[in-house]
Parts: sequence; structure tokens; C-alpha cells
Amino acid sequence: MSAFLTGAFLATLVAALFATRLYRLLMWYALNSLALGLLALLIGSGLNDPALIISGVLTLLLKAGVIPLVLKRLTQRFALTRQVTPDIKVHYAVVLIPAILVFTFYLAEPIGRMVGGNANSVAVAISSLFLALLLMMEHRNVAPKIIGFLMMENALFLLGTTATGGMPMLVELGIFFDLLIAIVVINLLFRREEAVE
Amino acid sequence: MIAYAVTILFLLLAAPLLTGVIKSLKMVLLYKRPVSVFQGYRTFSKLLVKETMLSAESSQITRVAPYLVLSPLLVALLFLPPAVSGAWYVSFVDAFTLTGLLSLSTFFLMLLGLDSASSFGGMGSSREAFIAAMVEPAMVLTVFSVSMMAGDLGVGAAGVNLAHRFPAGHTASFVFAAISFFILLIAENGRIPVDNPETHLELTMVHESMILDLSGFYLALIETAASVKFVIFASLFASLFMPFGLELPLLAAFGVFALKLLLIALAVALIEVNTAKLRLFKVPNLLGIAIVFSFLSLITFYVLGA
Amino acid sequence: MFSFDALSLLFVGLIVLGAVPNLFYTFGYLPHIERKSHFLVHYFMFIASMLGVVVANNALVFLFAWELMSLTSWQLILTDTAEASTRKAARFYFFMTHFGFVFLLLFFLIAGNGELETAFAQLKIGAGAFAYPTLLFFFVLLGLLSKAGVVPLHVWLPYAHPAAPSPVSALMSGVMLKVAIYALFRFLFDILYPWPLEWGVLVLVLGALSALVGVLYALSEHDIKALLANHSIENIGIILLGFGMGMIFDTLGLFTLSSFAFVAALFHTFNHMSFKSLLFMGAGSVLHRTHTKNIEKYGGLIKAMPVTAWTFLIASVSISALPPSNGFLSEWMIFQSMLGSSQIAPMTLKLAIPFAIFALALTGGLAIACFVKAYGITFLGLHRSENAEHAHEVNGAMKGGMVLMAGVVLSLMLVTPFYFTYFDAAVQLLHGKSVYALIFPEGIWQMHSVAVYGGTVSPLLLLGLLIGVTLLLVMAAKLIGVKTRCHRSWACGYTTGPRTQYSATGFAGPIRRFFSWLYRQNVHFDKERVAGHESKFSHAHFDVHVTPLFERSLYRAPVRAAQVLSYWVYRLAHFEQTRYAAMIFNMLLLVLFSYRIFAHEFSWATLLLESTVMAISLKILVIGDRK
Repeated sequence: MSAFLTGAFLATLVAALFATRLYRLLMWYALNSLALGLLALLIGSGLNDPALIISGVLTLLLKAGVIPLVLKRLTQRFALTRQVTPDIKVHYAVVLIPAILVFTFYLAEPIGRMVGGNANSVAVAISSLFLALLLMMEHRNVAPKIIGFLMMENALFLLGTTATGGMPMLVELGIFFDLLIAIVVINLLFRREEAVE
Repeated sequence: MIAYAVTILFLLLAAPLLTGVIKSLKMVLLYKRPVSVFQGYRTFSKLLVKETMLSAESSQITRVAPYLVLSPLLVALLFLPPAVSGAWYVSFVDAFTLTGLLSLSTFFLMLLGLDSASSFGGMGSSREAFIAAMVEPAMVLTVFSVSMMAGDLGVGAAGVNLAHRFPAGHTASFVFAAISFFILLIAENGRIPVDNPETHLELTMVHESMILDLSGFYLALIETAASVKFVIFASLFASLFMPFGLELPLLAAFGVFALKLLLIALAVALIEVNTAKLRLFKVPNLLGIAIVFSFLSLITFYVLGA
Repeated sequence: MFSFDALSLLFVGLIVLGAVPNLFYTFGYLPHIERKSHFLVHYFMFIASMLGVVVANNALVFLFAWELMSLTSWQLILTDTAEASTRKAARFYFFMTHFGFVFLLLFFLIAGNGELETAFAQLKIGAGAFAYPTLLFFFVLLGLLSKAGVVPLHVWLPYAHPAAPSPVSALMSGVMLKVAIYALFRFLFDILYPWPLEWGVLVLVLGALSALVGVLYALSEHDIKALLANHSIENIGIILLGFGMGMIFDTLGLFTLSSFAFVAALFHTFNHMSFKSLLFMGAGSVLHRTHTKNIEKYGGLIKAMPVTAWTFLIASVSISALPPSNGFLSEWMIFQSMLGSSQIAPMTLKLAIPFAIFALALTGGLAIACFVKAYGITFLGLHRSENAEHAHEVNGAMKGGMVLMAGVVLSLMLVTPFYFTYFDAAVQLLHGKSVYALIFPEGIWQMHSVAVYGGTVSPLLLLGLLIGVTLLLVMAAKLIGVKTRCHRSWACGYTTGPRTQYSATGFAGPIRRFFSWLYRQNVHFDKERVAGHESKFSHAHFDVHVTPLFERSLYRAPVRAAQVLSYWVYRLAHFEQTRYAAMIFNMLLLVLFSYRIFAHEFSWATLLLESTVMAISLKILVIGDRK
């Protein structure tokens, strides 16, 4: 089951890379967080680790629910362009994205083995980190870049849960705090973009 | 063996019905008064008695190609996975052969389009060639992935294996392969958003423009080929990606199978009503998703074992 | 001095099968050639030298025959020296073939320790003693693959092969390229065995690249013989895909799968010999009667040249890998051997092989498009020019050659098991593992794959079923009593004429547009407007010229390298915002990469391979398209 959720995480991330509409992108982000939250809950209940369960619930609530809605509200308020075409053309992307996935997996494989535990899942988490970074790179607009950033956050969380079987609560709180800051920054950025336009 | 023969006959006879069902479903969904679902049979019988017009510009190919468009599809129909458990099926044909047979049919269809010397035919062939070339890799990769989950590349055996032991540990790659295959089903059968089977506008049509200069018996052959192709894909999807209900008693199993086909028809109709036809150069985006999902299916299968 | 083992005899068989129908064809073609004795001397010397190469058993004889083969084919290209382009192509060919020869010579000098008369079997000792076997491997690759026309050493091929008289083109594309494949088998097995994993991966990558590049340039080609020459690059790529899979499996110890892949490669070698010779003969006949190589000037030739047209159709179906043709069977085998990759242990390799499958499948799809274009525009529709209108069927000897070659194609399809006994014997000799019994465990009706979860195909049953069903349909038509009437094409009410048909340029349009980054096409479009109207014109001309990417990059790029470098430095200083993220991306990649390479494991070949990937990533992500 956890493997299925990791697969779903990867699939939503890849689907987000092909999205050309902002709301569609937000939907993929929400689904991505959903898969992540469920994964955290699953692993947390397996390890009987309340901290992980709490952060799983928080992920489900915040990342899969609140943040996409807030972002949607923000884009509406600032009337941002909702047509977000990736810079990488689709005929590159079709091969490039699986290739990056495989190549980063190949490069990350020894690290995964170093961490121990589920080596392949760790390597996939590192690969998804790169894919999220790719999402940031392939867009010119601010909004999708931010979603890329949030996806990267998700990938880091996945890395943490798969590599260590539940991070210390402190780290997770730090991440959520980061997220808060990010939302504030996003607000500022949107204002700036509005000013530029 | 009897169940096998009955299945083949059923699929052959149900082929025009299935396309008819999609058509009338679409009309219902668009608040139109639907045509009869049996319109396909009426058209067929009318075309049989009509005189066949041959284009004076065309060559021997036009007299030969319609047969060669239909016959590979009829042969492919014989190799489909069984609809009921324990029925006889063809074990000596694998998925590559099946895709090859479909390509053979498309090859002659494209030649047919070029033979009538009209610009429409050439346009249709050109577009079909473009789409078919993009479909091929996604198809092969999906087939590869499914064959590993089913533990056999043979089409019949894969269907049976999947029904007997569903790869519960590989749900993720199974779902990805199913998504990829469904996109291929739409693309190969020329449904919206890849091609519009109803329009006769030169800007949008692909399949229709290749057969513009056919009539009578030859048109009947080609129309049959189109509906048989859809039924092949639908029953492949039903057997490989909805592998349940085979164990039921004979009649119930047939019923479930027919229901699955109807369900696919419903899904296609819903997609057709809810999406606009893509521009030709946007079609690769859709097929790109199919390709990426087939890659993803393989990668998750290998790496995560999911 | 000479050896006649199973591999040599197999390729002797290949040359004979390719040359005998060609002799008939040449006999019919001869009146067209002005310098007859010059042509005939070189023609027979050419065939003899190819035979010499495949039976040679020491370096001296091999190199002598190889050089003779190069020189005679060079002279054969120069049979008709009227056109400057022919002379240029010949010069290019002469240069490239000697470029390869130098590397072969180096290889023999190192492996034989300066001695050129030792038998191949003894060379293994010298090669084993040499400290850098990868260098020897690169020499062999450069020497042989420049002859076989593998990317990136393929640039000469689309010029040289079409410039020769058609029967010679058929021999060069159909047979001479296979001699290089023979040498690859011979050297890699007899001298350089065993191989590290990276060699196989390299061959696989080269094969995939050649297959894609070959078919993509073939699609944009209007010169029918250049189109076929580009397809030779593609097919050599497919052969190398099979060969590379065999090498990988062999290194990993999966000997059954490895033998299977090698048999697949040999089978495709034979298939390509048969259908490519036939296609070149057909193209030669068309060219002979219409006096133009431009595919846009053909059209409707099936009515005047039925034998040419139908044999060309057989070859087209076969080269497009459509069942139940022999081309399909060999491509099926290569696919099956790739499916065998699910058994291998190294995870990354396992993940990388689907990309090769992707390349092969895309190649197959594009090959279908290309041959629909080649066949449809050449033989179907209406005459597109005066020349095509006055064409008529070629003479008996040429027809005989084509029919004989079609027979070879059909025989490869119908008596596959018979051929397989010989392929198997050759592979068994090299590799010590027989797979015949595994491929045909239940008699000749079914071909089995040796991969786990592999499939089955039964070409004869398939053929029988196809014929049977088609006959049933035809009988149904007779039974109903279909009445037919002839009238001009309806075409939505427009009048059809030679100029309203789809052209080859138009047919390949969508694909050309989709891959425009590879083609960098030059479009010439001019029309004479009527009274300044935008949409009314009396005459229009649309022409697309494609400059091959590799030609540009290999020959013109070094000149501009300095310029580009300074441009990059400039770009680096003036990055846009998005590029910074890309820089970070590549930097991170670099960190992982250096960890993997320097702390985890080190190998020159992987370093090379990965640096290429890194360079591509830099190019696409950081540098991007030039504005």
C-alpha cells in the first residue's frame, strides 16, 4: 500500500509537470499532498509514532486542503494569468522527464543504500525532489514556481519519512513553519507581480 | 471452444452496436433526440446493396486495400482474451503481433487515402501517419508493463492470468498502464479529442477523409473495420484492466463482459461530450501523457515494486 | 589465411543471396551505362572483395579485401561522372572509408603486436595483453561503424549510396553494410571477448540513436534513393540494438537471452539485405524510366509499372515491420530480447532499457509513415510530371532481378526455421549456446521467445489466417454480386488533378513540424498573386530543404566553436531569472554525479556516458534555444 502511495505521489508530480492551467496545477498539488499525507498516516500507524500521525493529519489538512484553496483565492484576487505553459516543449518533455527520473534515480541509488531501510523509495524521493525543481524551472510565472516550491517541500517530507521512518517532530514543525513563511513570501511576490504587470 | 466461438461472434455482431450506443449516448447527453442504437446495422445493410463507385484516378490498390484493412482486424479478433473462465483461447499470439496487425490495417488505410488522388485523402493519411507514429511507443511500453504484471506476453494468457491472480501488489503501475491504454484507445479509434468521427470538415477530420471516395461495399468494409477496431480495444481494456467476473457462471460472465464493454462506451461518450477536439499539433501532448504514464508504470513496477 | 567456419559461410550465403538477383538486374541495367567495361570490372571485383572480407582469417588478407572493397565501390560511384554532386559524394566516401581504415589498421597493429599475418584466433592473446582494451574497442567501433553508417559517422551515407548506379546502390546498402556487421561479430567475439558492461550499453545507445536519426531524416527526404539510404542507417541501428542487447546479456551471464538477441541481429541483417536490395532495385527501375530522383515528380506509376510496384509493396510491408513479414519477425525478436531485460540485476540498466524500447517503437511507427509516403507518392494517385506519364515497365532482366529478390524476401518469411538453423550454428560457434530448440520447441509453426514471460508468434498461421479471411471477404463480395462503376474522384466536389494531390513534402509536414528542432528546415515559399490579392494566386511554389543536424555539427561546428563559447560566457553573465534555478538543478546533479563517480565507483566508460547526459542537460536546461 505504501508503495502504491509513493507511486501516486510520483504520478501526480509528473502530471503536474505537463499541466498548462493553473487550477489544474493546484489540483495536482492537492492530490500530491493527499498521497503524501496518507503515506505519512500509514507509516505512522505502522510505527506507532504519534508525531508522524500528527504531521500526516496536518499535511492532509493544510497541504491538501487549505493551501490550494488559499492559492486559488490569491490568484483570483490578484487576477494572475491562469494559462501557464511550460517552457520545455512537450516533445522534449515526453522523454526528458522519465529520463531525468531514471538518471537522478541512478545517481541517488548509492545514497539510498547508504541511508539503509527502503533504498529504492529513498532514491525515488530524491528523484522527485529534482522533478519538483524542474517544475520550478520550466515556468516563467511566479504562481507555478511557488507550486514547484511546495512540491519540493512535499518531496523533502517524503524523503524524511521514507529515509528515517518518521522525522523528529522538531524538524517537521520547522518545515511547517517554513511553509508559513513561504505563504507570506508568496503574498508579497504576488503583489510585486501585480505591480510589474 | 464453443464459448470461444460464441465470444468472437458476439464481439463481431456487437461491434456496430457499440459504436451506435456511443453515438446515441452522446446525443442524449447533448439533449438531442438520439438515433437508434441499431443504426449501424441499417447503414451496413444499405451499403451492401448499393452500387460501388470507384474513382477513375485510383489504381488496383483501391480494389485490394479495403479487404486488407478489414482482414487483419478480423484476424486480431480471433486472438482476444476469453470472456469467461475456462474457455478456450488462442495461446500462440502475443501482444506485439496484435499491435502489428492493427498497424497493418492502418498501413493499407493510409495507402487507400493516397490512392484517390484527392487532397483530402492525402491529408487524412498524413495526419493518421503522424498520430500512429506517436501511438506506437506508448502502446509497446504499456504492453511491456502489462505483460510483466500478468506474467505473460500472450494476450489470451495475460487476460486469464490477471483474472486469476490480480497483481494486488502492483496496483500503482496497473493503474498507470490502464490510464495510458485508455488514451491509446481514444487515439487509435479516432474519437474526440484526437479525431472527430462525425465531422466532415477538412480542418478536423482524419479517418473520414481517407475514406471519402469509397462507397457501397468497400465503404461497408471500412466502416466495419472501424467498429471492429473499437470493439477490439474495448474488449482488450475490459479483459486486461478490468479483470473480474470471469469466474461467474457462463451466462453471468458473459453479462458482466457485455456490461464492461457498455461501461467503456459510456466513458468514451462522456469524454467526447466534455472535451473539445484538440488541434492536430496538440495531439502529441495527449499522447505524451500516455507515453509518460507507460514509462511511469514501468518505473514504479521496477523501483517500488508497486 | 582463409577460414570457412559457420559465421563466414553464413555471410558468404548473404552475399550470394544479395548478389545473384542483383546480377540479373545489372544485366538489364547495363545498356544504360556508358563505360561498360569499367563498370563490369569493378562490379565483379566488388563482389569478390566482399567475399574476400568474410572469409579472411588474418589481418593482411582482411585489410587487403576491405580496401579493395572500398576502392571498387568508390570507382562504382564514379561510373557516371557527369554530375558534380556525384564526384563530390565519391570524394566524401573515399575520405570517410579511409578514415575508418586507419582505425582498423591501428587495431590490428596493436592486437597483433605489429604482425599482420597472424590468424584472428591468435590476435586474442595480443589484445588481451594490451593494457587498454577499451581503446581497442573504440578503434574497432570507429573503423567498422564508419563503414556501416552509424550515427554520428553516417553523414556520408545518404550522399554516397544514391550517387552510384541503382544496382550498385542495392549492393552497397544491401550487402556491403552487412560486411561491416560481420566484422563486428568476428572481432568482438574472436578477439575482444569478454566485454565489460559499458561496451554493450554504448552499442545499444548508438543503435537507438542511429535508428531514430535515420528514420527521421528519411521522412524529410524527397530524393527516393537518399530516402532509402537513410533507412539503411535506421536498419543498421536496429541491428545494433539487437547486438547491444546480446552484449549486455552476455556480460551479465544470461547466455540464452544473449544468443537469442544475436540471432535476432543476424536475422535482421538478412532481412535488411533482402528488402533493402529490393527497394533499391525498385527505386532504380522508377528512376530508369522517369529520369528523375525527385519523388514529387512521380505518381501513378503502379498503372504503368505493375511488377515494380507490387514487389516494392512487398518490400515496404517488410521494412515497415508489419506482420506477418520477415521484417516484423526480426523486430519482434529484438523487442522480445529487450523484454528479457526484466530479468537483469542492475536496477539502473533495467530502467534504461525501456528508453531503447521507446526508440525502437517510435522508429517502427515513423518507418510506417515513411513508407506510406514513399509508396503512396511514387506509385499511387495521378502522374505528377510528364516523365511519370510516359513511364513504362522495365525490361525482362530487371523485372527478373526484382522478382527473384522478392522471392528472397518471401523465403525469409516462409522458411524462417531453415534460415535459423544457420543463424543458430553461427551463434553457437561464437558463443557456445544453441537456442534453436528453444525458439522452435514445438516444430516450425510457432516461434517462442526465450525471455521470461516472453511471447509467441506463428508467422505461417498468421499468414494463412490473413489470406483465408481475405479470401472469405472476396468471396462474400462475389456472392453479393457487387456492382461497380468508375467515375472520377468525388473529393467533396472539387476537381482532382495532378496538382491538387498531396505532395511528399505535405505528407511529412506534421512530423517535420513536430521534430522541427532536429530538422532546422529551410522553407522556400513564393507565389505570384493575382492583382495583389492575398488569397488568389496563379502560381505557387513550396519547397523545404533540410540540413542534417549531424552534418552541420560535425563539419561546421568546429569552425564556430570559439564564437559559441564566447556567446555562452556572455549568456552566463546575463542570465535570466529562470536560468538560475536551472543552474542550481545542474549543480545538484553535479554533486550527486561526482559522489557517484569518485566516491562510489569509477569507470571511464560511465564517466564518458554520464558526462554526455550532463552536457545534454546543461544544453537543454541552462543554455536553451538560441533566440
